[in-house]
Amino acid sequence: MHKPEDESRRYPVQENMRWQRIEWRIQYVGYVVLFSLVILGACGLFSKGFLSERQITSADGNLRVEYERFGLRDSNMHLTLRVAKLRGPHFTLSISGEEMDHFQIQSLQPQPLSARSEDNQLILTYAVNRQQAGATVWLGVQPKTYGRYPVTVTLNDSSDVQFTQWVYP
Amino acid sequence: METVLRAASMYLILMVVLKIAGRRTLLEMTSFDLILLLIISEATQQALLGDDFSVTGASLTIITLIVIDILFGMMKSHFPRLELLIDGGSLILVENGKLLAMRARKAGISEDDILLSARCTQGLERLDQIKFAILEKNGKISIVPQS
Repeated sequence: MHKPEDESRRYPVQENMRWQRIEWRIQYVGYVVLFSLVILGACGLFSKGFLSERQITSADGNLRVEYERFGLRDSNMHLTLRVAKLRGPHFTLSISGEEMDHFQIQSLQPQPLSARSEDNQLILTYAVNRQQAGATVWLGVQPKTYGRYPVTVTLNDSSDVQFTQWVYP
Repeated sequence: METVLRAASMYLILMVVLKIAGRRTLLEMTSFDLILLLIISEATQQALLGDDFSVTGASLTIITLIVIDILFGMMKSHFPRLELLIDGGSLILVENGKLLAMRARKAGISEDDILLSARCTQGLERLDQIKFAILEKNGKISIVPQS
């Protein structure tokens, strides 16, 4: 008289066991997806974490850029430019890429001697002290739109690094 | 446009996540669950409105959410399959005093949960006094006593 458990009943409610089994399977897959999202998020796939923190050095080793590979829209990201060996009375850093159109620069330390722009290129010139061996420029930026942004940072038109930043909506 | 997209995407994300979490979360609403619900709404609020403090923005968000809800309601009544997908169906857990163990396990409901419902709603003491126990779409267990 008893039906097997995995058969649909019609009384007192209409069941759909075939669909119920699909639902359980989807739920299982969903658990796996949610768990992995939490773990990946903790590792920094969605900004701020070891998967996201990156640094890149130019071929001649003169310029090193520390950046975040993944960022979130409307939240802060940092960018650190380190210059190893300084020559001459000035050095020039230029940041170019579509990034400049879609990111808002929140802070720039230290302040440059002069700042100018060309297309979507920001050119910063700094004076060099006599005793100064190296220099660091810290930038705080805030992406205003989402997408993939290739960036090029150039030092004195000689050394350059290229990297890509992803911004989630 | 952005306001509408924000509202729509948050609606869908919440629907999918709560669907995955299962009906069991609704079944046992403890005081902690209430706080959890408050935290979730707090986290959602930022993404819904962003840095928009205007009355127009808030109105548009609310209207979008309600319209999506109405749309889903209309689609559900047109396509019964979609209703099954979103709300799930009813599931019989106890039949003529016998626990359907595989179903209960997969639905994440123990015999104790069923007995608790039986005590609360019908004043029954044992499983064999239950004719049917049904896990409903709203996450509650309804009990039909043996006559």
